[in-house]
Amino acid sequence: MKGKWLLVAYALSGVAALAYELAWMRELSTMLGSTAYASGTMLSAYMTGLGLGAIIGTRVAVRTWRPMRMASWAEVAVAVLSVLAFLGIRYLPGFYFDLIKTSGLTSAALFLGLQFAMSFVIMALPTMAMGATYPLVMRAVNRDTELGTWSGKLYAVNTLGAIAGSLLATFVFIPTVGIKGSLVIAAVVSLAAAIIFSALATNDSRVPLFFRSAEVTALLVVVVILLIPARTGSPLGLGQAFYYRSAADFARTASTRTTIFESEGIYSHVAVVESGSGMRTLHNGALDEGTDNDYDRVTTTMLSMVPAMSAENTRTALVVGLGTGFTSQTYYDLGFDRVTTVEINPDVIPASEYFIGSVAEDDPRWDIVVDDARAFILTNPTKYDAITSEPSWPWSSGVAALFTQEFMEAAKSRLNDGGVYCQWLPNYILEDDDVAMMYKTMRQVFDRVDVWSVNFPEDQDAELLLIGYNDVAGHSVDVVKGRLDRLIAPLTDANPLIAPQSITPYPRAGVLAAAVDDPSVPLNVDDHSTLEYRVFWNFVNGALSRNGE
Amino acid sequence: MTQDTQAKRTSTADAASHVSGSFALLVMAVFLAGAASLVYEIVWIRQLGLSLGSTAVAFSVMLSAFLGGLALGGWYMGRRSDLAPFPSMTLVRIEVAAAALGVLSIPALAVVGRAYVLIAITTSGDPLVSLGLRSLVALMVMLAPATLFGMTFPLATVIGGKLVGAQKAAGTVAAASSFGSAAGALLAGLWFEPAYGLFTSAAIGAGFNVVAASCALLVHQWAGIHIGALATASAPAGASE
Repeated sequence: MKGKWLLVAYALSGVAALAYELAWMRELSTMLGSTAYASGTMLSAYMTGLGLGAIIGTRVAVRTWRPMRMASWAEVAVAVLSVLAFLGIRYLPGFYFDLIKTSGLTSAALFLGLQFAMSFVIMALPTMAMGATYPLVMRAVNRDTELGTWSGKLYAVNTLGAIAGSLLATFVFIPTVGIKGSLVIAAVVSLAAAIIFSALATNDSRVPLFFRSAEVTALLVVVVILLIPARTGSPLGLGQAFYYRSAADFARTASTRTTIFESEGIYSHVAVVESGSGMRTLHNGALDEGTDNDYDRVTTTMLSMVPAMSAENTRTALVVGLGTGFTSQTYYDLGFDRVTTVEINPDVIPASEYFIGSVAEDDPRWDIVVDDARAFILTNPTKYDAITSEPSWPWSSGVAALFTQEFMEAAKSRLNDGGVYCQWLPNYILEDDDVAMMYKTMRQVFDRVDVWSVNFPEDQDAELLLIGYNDVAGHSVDVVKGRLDRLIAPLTDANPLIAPQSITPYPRAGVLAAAVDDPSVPLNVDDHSTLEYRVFWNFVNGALSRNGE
Repeated sequence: MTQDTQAKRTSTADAASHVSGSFALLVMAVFLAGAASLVYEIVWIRQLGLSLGSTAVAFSVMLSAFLGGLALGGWYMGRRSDLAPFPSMTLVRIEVAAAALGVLSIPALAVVGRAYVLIAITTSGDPLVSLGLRSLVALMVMLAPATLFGMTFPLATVIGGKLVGAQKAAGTVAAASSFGSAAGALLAGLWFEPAYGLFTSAAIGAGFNVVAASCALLVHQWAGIHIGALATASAPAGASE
């Protein structure tokens, strides 16, 4: 019977461990950037803490005569130290932000080392306490003849607990009670495990002192976490390194803004904030995903106008990524019979209503699908006259899969005859080599690719639209430009930036064409999505080079 | 000093040297196996995500399949590792099998991913069918190798217990596994994937398994035949609560 309760307690320890891990990593991703690099450093820091804890636990285990009670204390320590981790998550982003902005880090190793260090500082103590539990419990079991049996059982139940913890944290805790509430629940689960270990440690029929102290500790932990202020509005993270000189600079700007929508969902913290001038910005974690300012309106408008004017027919369109919703709305306003928008994050849908109203939900011509765009395109045979892919920045793994040759091939297979595919590229965080790589990649799929500059024709700050034609024959660039100018003309009064000079053929198209036959230019493919990593380093170097501005 | 005493001392010193050397090799094997498992986890979830999608549901299905395999392996091998006559040789076989499955995993993932897409096209629209299909695909690809990874832990604990005693072995194996996982996460996320891509990363993971198997083989050759005798000599006495 004792053995069963021991397994239950250790399973609860696993539930709590994954709930903590996912909550910490969600917040750290905001701070460090949602990249493969950040995932690697965070996971590594977490596992390093567990390893150090196992060493400490082993040293304690060989000396103590009360290993089960020590295991109980280790679980209490997990809960108590998780408060420190939460405090770190709340207050370290500003320190980290200022550090990377002022240190002038030029080495990738140093930059990643700092990311690891920040992750480790936050997670080290509670993960060490987690790691110490196993050797203490094994010492308490103390059956040399059943060493494998018990290590296997404990490993199995802890891992099953981890599965439960990951599912609960992702789908129940974080979406319903947020990060803070999730940490409270995880702390309570840790303390439940502590109480069971404590009960197993004593043969005394009276309620042991520790039993009461665990309950008091549980209450204290919950109260302390609840007292820590919850975050509201857009959080500070690496994503803002491009725009702000310091954490104080960010805080000053943030204090002038009003949060008019926010949601802590399955994927991220989504918020819409309004500045004093009335400009609205959509935040996904620490990333600005779009605004309603005039420059962004030009880009989002052109993301549908250019493919619409390039395609043979204008009946059906697919938009990858809802964001502010302006691109889909423009397709809708252009009179397409059906507009389908695929958005992975359901919290973006209500957020988009602060930019475009509820038109998407009210009109049967507009269909919003909550799914991963790649999976949607692969598994839905519907074909379209125009497909626009404008996902988030390609430095996170899931998004990077929407910039590869294989994704473009899937998209091409969903084009009608005469249809076009429009690929958005954020030129302001790309080098010329990156644009050449993307052009070459797209030319592996489409025989004809036109490139358009938006907003700043000759400038690095331009955004690029790559138009791939399902059929080589189609409107010439001049014809498309003429159609665009006629379409744009009536809109210039409302937004002077929506003008003929804001959308022009890319001036360096000849350089791009040469890249197609250049073997030194790589392709961006599923197996090796080079763009994802290049964009991250471009961003970091660009953000850090703005130090002192 | 008689020749017998001298011979006994030499023999004892040799045995102690073999035990400490074997335990160090065992720890290295566990470290490499832990590193390989994290390399695979990161690569597989990314590769499967290309077909199954990057939704929270798809990610959870993949993570659960991987962790479920680990749990199954730990549970299955737990009691069997106590009864195995040569657990170090079993560990060799498991690491070799893990390496083979690791190399095969990437083409298998691509094939299974395509099969999923073909089936999903015919059943599109039903979320439950989609969830079931995704779970099936993830389990098909990940369950077998992850189960092998899960077997490593109790086996290594038993071998270590017979070499240096239960307490030291349990904690040291857990620490080596965690540090290996930490190294695997760093290497896969910061170096292998950005520099070499998914397939090569998985192949490097398989290389880790092969080196781990070699370490386990050396453990078997150095101490395998002594493990039974060492078990009684090195196990600590002690009782607790």
